[in-house]
Amino acid sequence: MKIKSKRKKRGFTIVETLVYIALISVVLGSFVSFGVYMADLRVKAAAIQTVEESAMISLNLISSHIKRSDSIVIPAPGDEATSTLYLDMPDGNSDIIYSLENGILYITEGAASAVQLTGDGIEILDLSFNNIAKLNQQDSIYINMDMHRRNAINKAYEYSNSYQINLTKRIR
Amino acid sequence: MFHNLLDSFKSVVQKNIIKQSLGGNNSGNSIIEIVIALAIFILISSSLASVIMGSYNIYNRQSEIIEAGILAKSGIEATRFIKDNKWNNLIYDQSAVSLISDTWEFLGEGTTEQIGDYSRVINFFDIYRDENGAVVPQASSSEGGVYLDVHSKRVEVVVGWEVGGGEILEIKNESIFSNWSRSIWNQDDWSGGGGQSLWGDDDRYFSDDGNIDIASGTILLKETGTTSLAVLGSIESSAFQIEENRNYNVVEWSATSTKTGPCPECEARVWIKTAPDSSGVPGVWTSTWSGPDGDDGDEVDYFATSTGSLISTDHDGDRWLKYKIELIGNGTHTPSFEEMKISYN
Repeated sequence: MKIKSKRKKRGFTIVETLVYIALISVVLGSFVSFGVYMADLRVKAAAIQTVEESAMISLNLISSHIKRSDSIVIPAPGDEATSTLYLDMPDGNSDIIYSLENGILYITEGAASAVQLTGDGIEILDLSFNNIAKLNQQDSIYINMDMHRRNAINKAYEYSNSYQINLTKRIR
Repeated sequence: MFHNLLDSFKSVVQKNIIKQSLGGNNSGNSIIEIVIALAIFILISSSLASVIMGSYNIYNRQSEIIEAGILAKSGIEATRFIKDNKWNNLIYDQSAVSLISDTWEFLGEGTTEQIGDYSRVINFFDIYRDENGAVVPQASSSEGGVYLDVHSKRVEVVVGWEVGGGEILEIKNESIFSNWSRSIWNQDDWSGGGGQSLWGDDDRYFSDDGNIDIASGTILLKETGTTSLAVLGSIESSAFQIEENRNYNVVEWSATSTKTGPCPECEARVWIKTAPDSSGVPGVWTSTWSGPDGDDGDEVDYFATSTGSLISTDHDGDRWLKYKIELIGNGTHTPSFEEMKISYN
C-alpha cells in the first residue's frame, strides 16, 4: 500500500483574513484609545497637582508667617476683607506683605522687591484675608483663595479649586 | 495483513516526524489558537492597564489628601480660635465647627460638617494629671491625687472622604490645647471686711452671713462658743469686671480640711452670678446663683471641685461676675478657704 504525502500549500481564507484584521483592529484600537486616555489623564492630573501644590505651599508659608507675627496690621480686626495681608513681624525681622497682582501672589519682605510666589501657569481668581477677631481677641485670619490652572492650548485641561482656611496668630 | 498496516503507519509517522524536524509543516495557527492567544494577551494587558490606572489613582489621591489636609488644619485653627477666646466652650466629646456671623462656633454634641466631598468632625479628649502635674491615662482617674485638668484638652480633627467602592479615607490632625494664656482674677485675703460691692481693694468682699471668720485672711467658720463653731457660713464677693469680648471660663480654689481627717462633713461650695455691662456697672444679674449647670433657674448645683470646673456657656458675653462661698463644718471643725481663682480669656 502506497501512501502519498501531499503537501497542502494554501494562504488564509478571506474569512480568516477578515477575522484577523478585525482582531488586530480591536487590539490596536484599544491600545491607541488607552494611550490617548492616559495622556489626557496625565495632563489633567498634572493640572490638578500643580494647583493643589501651589495652594498648599502658599498657605503653609502664609500660615507660618501669621503664627510668628507680632500683630496683623492689615486687615485689622473689624475691617473689610482685603487682598493684602500686612504682618508686623517680631523685632529683628522684616515686616511681610502678601499681595495679589494680575492673578499672581507676591510676597514682599521689608524693603526688598516683591517675589512671585505662584507660577505663571497659575492664576488666582480671588484672594481675600478677613480678620475675624473682635476687640481684645487674638488676631485670626480667614483666607479664601480661588486658584486656577491656565492652559492656553486646551481649555479642557484647565482646573480651578477654592480653598478656605483659618489661621490664628499664636499668643506669646 | 495486520503487520503490513502497522508498517505503513510507522512509515507515515516517521515521515511526519522528519518533516516537522526539518520545519516542513507550515500549516500556521488555527483560529482557536489565535483566540486563546488574544485572550491571554488581553488578560495581561488589562492587568497592566489596571496597574497603570491604579498608579494614576494614587497620583490623583495626592490632590485629595492635600485638600483634606487643608481642611483638617483649618479645623484645628478654628478650634484654636475658640479656645483662645472661649475656653469654656470646649465642652463636647465630638462637634463640628462652623463660621457663624464671622466667628467660629461649635455646632453641638455629635455634629459633623460636610464640606464638598469631605466630612469633618472634631473629637475632644479629657486630660488627667497626677499630683505632680504629669499626664496620666484616664484609667488612673480613680486613684488618689489624680485629677481632671480642666485647662488642657486633646483635640483631634478627622477629615474623611469616599474614594469609591464604599472605601473611606481619613486624615487626622491632632493637637494638645492648653488654657495657659488665661487671665486670672484671684482673691486670697478677705481680712479687709465686707461692704465693697465693686472690686477694688483685693482684701475686701461684699457681704457675709455673720458666721464666718476672716481675721486671719482666709475664710473660716466662726466660733459660736469656747469649743464650738458655726456649721454653715457664707460670703459674697465684690463684682469683678472683664474687658469687652472676653469670657469667664473656669472656677477653682484652694481649701484645706475638707472631707478629710476629723471632719469628713467639712466642705466648700461655690456659686457664681454674672451680668452684662451697663455703662460701667453691672446690668441685670442672673436670677439665681449658678453652678456648673449654668443659669438654669435653680441653685441645686454648685461648684464642688477645687481643681477646677468650667463655667457654663450660659454666662458667655457677661462682663461682670461675683461669687458666693459656702463653708460647711461639723460644729467642731472648719474648712479653711484660702484662695479663689476665676479664669477668663
